[in-house]
Formats: sequence, structure tokens, C-alpha cells
Amino acid sequence: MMKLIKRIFTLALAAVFLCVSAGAEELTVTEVSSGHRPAPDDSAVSNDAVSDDLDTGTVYPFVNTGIISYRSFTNVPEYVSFIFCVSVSNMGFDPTAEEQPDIFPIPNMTWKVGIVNDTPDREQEMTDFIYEQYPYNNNISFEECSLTYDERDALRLELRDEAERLSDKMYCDTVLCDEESEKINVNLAFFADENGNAPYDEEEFQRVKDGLISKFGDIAVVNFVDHDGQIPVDQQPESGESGRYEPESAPETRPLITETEETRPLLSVTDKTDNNRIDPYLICAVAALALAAGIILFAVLKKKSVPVFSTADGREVTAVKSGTKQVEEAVKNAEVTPDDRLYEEIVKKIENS
Amino acid sequence: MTDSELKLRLDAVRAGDMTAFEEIYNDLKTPVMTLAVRMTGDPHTAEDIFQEVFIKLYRSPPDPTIAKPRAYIFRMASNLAIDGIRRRQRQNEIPLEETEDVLSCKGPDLEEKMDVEKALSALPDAERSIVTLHVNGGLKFREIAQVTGLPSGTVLWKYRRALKRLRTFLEIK
Repeated sequence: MMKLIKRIFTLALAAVFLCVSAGAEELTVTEVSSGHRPAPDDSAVSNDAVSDDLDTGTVYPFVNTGIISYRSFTNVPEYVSFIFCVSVSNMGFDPTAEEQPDIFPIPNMTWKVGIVNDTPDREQEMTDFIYEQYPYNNNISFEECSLTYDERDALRLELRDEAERLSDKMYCDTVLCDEESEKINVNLAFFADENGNAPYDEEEFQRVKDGLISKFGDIAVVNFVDHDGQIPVDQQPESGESGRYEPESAPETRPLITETEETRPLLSVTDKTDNNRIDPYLICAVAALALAAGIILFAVLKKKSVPVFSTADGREVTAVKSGTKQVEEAVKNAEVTPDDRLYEEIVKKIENS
Repeated sequence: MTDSELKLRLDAVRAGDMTAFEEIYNDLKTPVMTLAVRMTGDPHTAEDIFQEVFIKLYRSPPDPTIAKPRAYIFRMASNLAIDGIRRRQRQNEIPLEETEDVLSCKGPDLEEKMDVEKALSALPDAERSIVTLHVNGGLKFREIAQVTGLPSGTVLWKYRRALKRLRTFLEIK
């Protein structure tokens, strides 16, 4: 444990050194209250604080991307197979609008989370986990999945390679677990052309689908996913996991936060203003120490939160995947040892041949 | 025994070294017999296949260029077992009196072993083979993919599904 702590602090110091030598950009943070139209004299809210330049920052950090998934999070628990942001709406941010609102509403986000199916109930923990990093109106549904993230991703890459081999017009978008059929759902999509159009070709889809089914048919169900050309050719997600931006829809949500005084304030990040300068070196140092403290805390909590139980022969195994371990041990112990006479019979046959 | 160690002993077997052959036999006898019994469901057929594997191994050891001789041997055993299945109709259960001839009570009581064997026999053939090759044979999923001819992602998927079914059958929480 002490070795781990020393290692972490070494990493934290290295992070601070890198920040100093690289030269952090100056950032300013303007606090914006959520969900309310500001009073005329409320200087905390200002449209001037919002950058018009999409590349340097907007109110919500994910506005520029439609890809919010597992890789968008840090320190994802190992019992999570997938996290997908299925849709985002009510963001109130229209980059083409001439005038921007003074305040942006809380976005609605719909999530789908896959939990490895031999772990204890983790739904509340994952709800808190998502909320910590995306504190908006989150509607989260949970599914069971037999595979861990790495295992599912390995399978996705095999499917992707096979789809690529079969067709240069389609790609394997997402691979999800389907609890009911106990198969995986493979979603195929068409590449978009230079104009962002991805016309549907029924014949091509059937051909690729048949090709995938012939190789993976006993474990996979192949579907078509229509992205309406929202993903240009040069922005095809490398991870193959994409969320969608649906500015017009407002799905039913069960908001986890309400518009009260206790509401956590939303932050807008701008590139430069004259107010509230914060020393970048201080930010780096705080970030590095926070990272170190977070890692230590995570390691301690993870070790504590995973229940441990004893087997009949006195060994200790952890509860996470304990069912799997028990089964593997049972299968191992049930192996069949051949009678010693068989070796003599084999040698006799070899000598007689 | 690692693949490197196995390769050295196979080189010796190629030169007619029976001691090396016996070492290979002692290392592989249990997983090969386990695989044969679980694939065929019949201990007598499994014994025939078991003998055939090792006789073939002595007469025609795998080529030195084969990187994973252990996987090669299991593939040979698997193919012979499939041939054995085709020659004999598979039974759904292994009768207790037949299995007692084959099983050796080296650890847990026989009833517990029978529960596991019953659970395994309820699995589809491919899943049962994959579980046996991984747990008892010690093969990695990529190696099992070579043995079974299935994509490695499929192997992994089937393995996880098999464990889930076994867990349900054995009522392990």
C-alpha cells in the first residue's frame, strides 16, 4: 500500500512538472445558475460569458460531439460492460442562431448502461457515477451483459473487421448485449459521403447481414442503424460507439436534479476574460493532488466495497465475479482422471505396432 | 507444462524417448480424458479416443514449427471425439454406474462431481467443449478458437454464456 501511495505521489509530482513546463492556458470560470431567467441586476449570468467559437468551449462540454460513451468517463468500474448516451436533448444551444439565450436549460440525457451479470446490484452506484460527471436530467436504463467492456470490445473489433471485409459501404457501429435473447445486438450503419448523406441500400445491408450471420449467427442479431447522415465520413467514430444529437425531441425524463436553490450550478468555460483570473500553476497543482487523492481513495474504497467471502476449503474469493470463479472451480474439480491401466495399454499398442 | 517445455519433450519423443512421452502423458492425461468424456458422453468411447490420441501423438508428433502444440493436441482430441460421436449416438445423461468406472474420487465427493457433470451435459456441445478446453485444458480463448474453428469473440461469448447457465443449474449465487 505504501509503495502504491509513493508511486501515486511521484506521478502527481510529474503531472505538476509537466503542467509547469508546458504552460497551462489561462482559463476563466464564470458561474452560471441553472434553469432560471436571471434578474436584470444578476451579474453572475451573462451571455457575453459564452464563447461564440465552438472550438474553444461552450456551455456544455459535449455539445461539439455526438459521441458520449464508456470512453467519455474516467475510472469506470470494472463491472460495467457499456455506457451509451442514447440521446441528448433540450440543450437549447443552436449554433446557427443569431442570438443566444441568456441562460441555457438543463439538457436531458438518456443513457443505457450494461452491467456484467454476475455482480451485485450496482444501479444506484452507476446512477451516482453518471451524475457526478454529467449532472443533468439523466434517464438511465440498465441491462445485464455477460461480457466485460474489454471482452465486448474485442468481439466488436472482430465484427467490425468482418463487416469491413464484406463491404466498404457499411460499418459496425455498436455492439450491445440483449438480455432477452442472450445474444448480442450488432448495429450496422452506412458510411456518409462527402455531403454527409448515407442513403440506405437494402441489398447491401442484407448481403452484409447474411455474411455476419453466417459467421456469428448463433451469438448475434444484426440490425440497421440509421444516422441520417449526421456522421460525416471524416468523423466516423473510431470506437464505433456513438450517441445522437436530437435537438427537436424531448424524451420523457426523470430529472435527478430540480430547479431549486440547492441545484448545483452549471459552469461555462470561456477562453479569456478580464475577470477572475486563476493561477494556472495552482490549477495544475490542485489537479495533480486531487488526482492522487482520488486514486488512493478509489483504491481503498474499491478494496473495501468488494465483499469477500470464504469458500468451504478456507480460501477467500471476492464477490465480484465470485459466481464465475465458483463455477470454474467446480468444473475444474469435476475433471476425469483416467485409470492407470490405460497407459500400459497404450504402451503395449505402441510396442506392438 | 508450458508450450516450450512440451515442444522439448515432443522433440525427444520424435527420437523415441519413452520417458519424455510418459511426462507428456502425465501432464495431459486428465484434461484429454475429461474432454473426451464430456464431448462423447460415453466413458467407453472416451477411453478409445483417449488411447488413440496418445498413440497418434507418439507415432506422429506435431511438427516442430507448430507454435502451440498443446492446442494442437486438444484439436486432435476434439476431432477424434467428434468422429466418435458420429459413430455412436450421444446419450443425454451419463448413467451413474457407467461413470463410476471412469471417475476417480480424488477430492470432493462423487455426488458433487455428478452435479457438475449433469450440468455440463445439459450445455450445447460447443459450449461444453469450450468450458472444458479452457478450465480443464488450460487453453486461452484464442487457442480454443483455433481448436474449434470459431471466431475468438464467439468463443468468449459462448464461454460466458455457458458459465451463466452452469451457475443457474448449480444454483451458485
